[in-house]
Amino acid sequence: MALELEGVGFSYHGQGFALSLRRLAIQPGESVALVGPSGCGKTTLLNLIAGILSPGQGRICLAGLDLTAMGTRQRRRHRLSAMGMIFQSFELLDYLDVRDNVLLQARLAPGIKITAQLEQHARGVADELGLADKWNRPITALSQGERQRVAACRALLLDPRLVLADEPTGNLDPENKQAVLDQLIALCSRDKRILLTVTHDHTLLPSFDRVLDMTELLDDRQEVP
Amino acid sequence: MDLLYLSLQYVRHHRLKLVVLIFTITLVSWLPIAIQSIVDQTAEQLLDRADSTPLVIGAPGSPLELSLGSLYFRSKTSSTIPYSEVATLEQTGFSRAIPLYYRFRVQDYPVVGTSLDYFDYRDLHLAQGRPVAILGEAVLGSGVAKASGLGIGDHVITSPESVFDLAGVYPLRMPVVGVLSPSFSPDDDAIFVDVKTSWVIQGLGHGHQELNRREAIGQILKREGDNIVANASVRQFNEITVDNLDSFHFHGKNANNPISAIIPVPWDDKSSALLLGHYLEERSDVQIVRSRRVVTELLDTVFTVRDYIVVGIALVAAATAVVAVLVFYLSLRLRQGERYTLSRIGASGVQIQTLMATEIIAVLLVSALLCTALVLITRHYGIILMQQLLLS
Amino acid sequence: MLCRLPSLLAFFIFAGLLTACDEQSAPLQRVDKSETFVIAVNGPLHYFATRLLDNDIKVRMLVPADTDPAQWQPSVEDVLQLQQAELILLNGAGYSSWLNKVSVIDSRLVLTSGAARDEWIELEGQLSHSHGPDGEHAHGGYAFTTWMDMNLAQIQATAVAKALRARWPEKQALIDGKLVALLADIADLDNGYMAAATRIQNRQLVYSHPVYQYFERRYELPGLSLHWEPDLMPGDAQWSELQRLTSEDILFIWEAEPAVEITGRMSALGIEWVVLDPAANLAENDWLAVQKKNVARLQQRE
Repeated sequence: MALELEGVGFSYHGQGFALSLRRLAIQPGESVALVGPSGCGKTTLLNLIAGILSPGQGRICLAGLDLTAMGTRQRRRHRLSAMGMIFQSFELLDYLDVRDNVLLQARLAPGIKITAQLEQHARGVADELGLADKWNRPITALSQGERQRVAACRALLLDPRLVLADEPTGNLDPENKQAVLDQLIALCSRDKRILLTVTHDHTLLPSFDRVLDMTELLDDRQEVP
Repeated sequence: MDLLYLSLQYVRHHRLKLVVLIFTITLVSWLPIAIQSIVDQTAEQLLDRADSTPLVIGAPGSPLELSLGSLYFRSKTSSTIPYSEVATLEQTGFSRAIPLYYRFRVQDYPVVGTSLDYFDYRDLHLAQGRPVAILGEAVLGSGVAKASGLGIGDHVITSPESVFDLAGVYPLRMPVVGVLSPSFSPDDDAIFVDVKTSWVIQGLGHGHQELNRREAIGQILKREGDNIVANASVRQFNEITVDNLDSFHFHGKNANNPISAIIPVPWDDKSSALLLGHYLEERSDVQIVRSRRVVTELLDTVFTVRDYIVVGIALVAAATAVVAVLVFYLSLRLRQGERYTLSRIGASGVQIQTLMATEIIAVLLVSALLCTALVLITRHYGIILMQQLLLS
Repeated sequence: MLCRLPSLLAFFIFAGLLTACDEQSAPLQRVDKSETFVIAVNGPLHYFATRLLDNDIKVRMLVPADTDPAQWQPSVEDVLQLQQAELILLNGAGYSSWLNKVSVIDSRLVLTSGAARDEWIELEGQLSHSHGPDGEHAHGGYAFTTWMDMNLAQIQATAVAKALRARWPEKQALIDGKLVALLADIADLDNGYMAAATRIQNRQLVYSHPVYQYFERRYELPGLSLHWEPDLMPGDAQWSELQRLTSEDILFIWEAEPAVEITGRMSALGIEWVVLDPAANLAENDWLAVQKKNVARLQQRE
């Protein structure tokens, strides 16, 4: 069930940016922070793992599935069902309430029906993230921290093997940052999910199982077991 | 269904914006169609009615008043011609004559005094009851019966023309003996009586107790030879029944009694032409009008006004379309972040485009439905309003 | 086009409803297809029409046999029949006072004595009334037994023929032929009356009722008109009035056979009488037969 990258190379056409990573492996239940200077390719790496971008070379496997061998459509569907995404700016739909935002990914995923059972599971996840009394509230009525928790619920709803978080605490106040991150790490650890988080906030690094420096991943400088 | 659900949530959240858009688009779509439709249908009805009554004879004056009064039983003037004109017309040998006297009302409904020939002429049929047989009886148009809930055996009472003229026209209580089938014409909203009944309403004919009996002595002013002069205390009947019908009589000759107009029914086209020539050239005390010509002149004015209005609305519609396109464009721009989020989560291009298109589709679809519904409603009620506007 | 679809649909639904409605509603002027008929308001006109027509067109008279047609008032049912008649043969001279109180189809009215309007006899001494000092008077009226002047009877018969021809042009030849015969019969009556008149013109004529004005004028037989009913014994005052006129030349003319007791008293007074039946209504014998009997009876008098 591990996430394994091997010899992955990618470049944006005509933009002079290139990424080359020799090897990366993350085990289930592990929470990893990915740090590095701006523009070094952290978000690009997340997009490659998510299947939003396709590498020019190399292999990306998740739980034994070779994502690089999939077509665009297959990668997208795999992303919907097997991964959860959390973004810095939450990226919730303001015309949906908490419930519908949490269930959004499920509505878009093929073969998933919104049953009472699923909804009950969603409420359970929301409860764990402290959103029990906010279930039918409009998003606009929530605080920043609550919104990010909703985003986390959405990402965790379909039991993803991998949760990719790009600066998830970037827009939170100091009090919420640690709380949200700790809850996210705890849930992922408990359920043996891989949590790969891009962050600039070094105060949060101790919370993670491992910290990876992007600059050391690139250009054969460090092989990560 | 999930996409539909998400779309509905979007629509709900932005309902004010969408309602305003729908309202605006519906209005600028419906208005020109409605105006065009109302005017066209009204024109068609007016012309049909005019064609079914090619000629009308009446008192000199406004041809428009005479035409509209004879066709729709609504007239602002009280000009009349003597009933003798009916015989005069028939004596020309060119036509038979149908008298019309539409001075009186039962509430808002015109009481049309005419002859039995009118019903044959207009191809009016009975749905219930029978034709008028004796003085004082009334036959209701289908619209009158429906709106008032009156039918066979009920009574209608004519409305006094003025509460200050107590010695003038007084109410006559008339039994309803028949109800006509719908004809989808102004005849549906009229009450028909014999023309002689109209004269009774006017007070030119009446019924009262016999004056040459002992019990009437208190009502006699004086005797002059063979003539009894009655005073004002004579009780006059306000309803004609089979029992008192015998007492009803007219003072003076029917030939001198007034009517509003005559509908000539020429025997053929040649007779029609001869009749027209005869009245145009040889008679200055009455006028003959060609209904279609009068109505066409009225409609020319209406069409001109309509055209100006439609052009104005078209300009507004064009501006509205531009604004709507801008609103949709801006809305899509605003939803760029949403598209990005959906894409990153894993939504397909089709899913994203469908969600984005929902707003536009919803607005256009609802506007089209509302526009269609309004056009249908307008086609029914708008004509009534238009006719009232033209006839008022 | 799409916008017109609902209204097109609505139109067809309406058209269908209209058709259905038409099938269920009755024409305002019901035409009894089972029988074509004309209506005559009195016996003479009924006779003329019957003489001029074949059996395929019926001639009706709505007045009951025991009612004077001049006094008859139609019921509502009678009026509805009048509305269905192809023609309504009117006498004229105000004979049908009910005409101004009913609704009939004016184009079907035939004023049979209209051509002789200037020969109508205006009545004097009729009671009228007005309302207020300046109000219009109710008209006294005209004498209406026009057919007792055989010349006017011919005019009326001719008018009936003209109306029948206009209504049934295909029967013109038939009607014209029958009219000739009818006019000839009426002319014979006229001659008969003329002959009888010369025999009695010097007699003091007393008429039981004022219904002989046209007869008096035509045959120059003026007389005094009373109001005596043939089946009602006159009162003493009436007898006294008659006796004041006692003269050997009195010839009392009854409109119908008088009661025996009346004729008995007349005989006792030496008053000669004869029946001159105007035949206003239908009777056992047709109008011509009645008139022939009138002539015969008159011709027996001197």
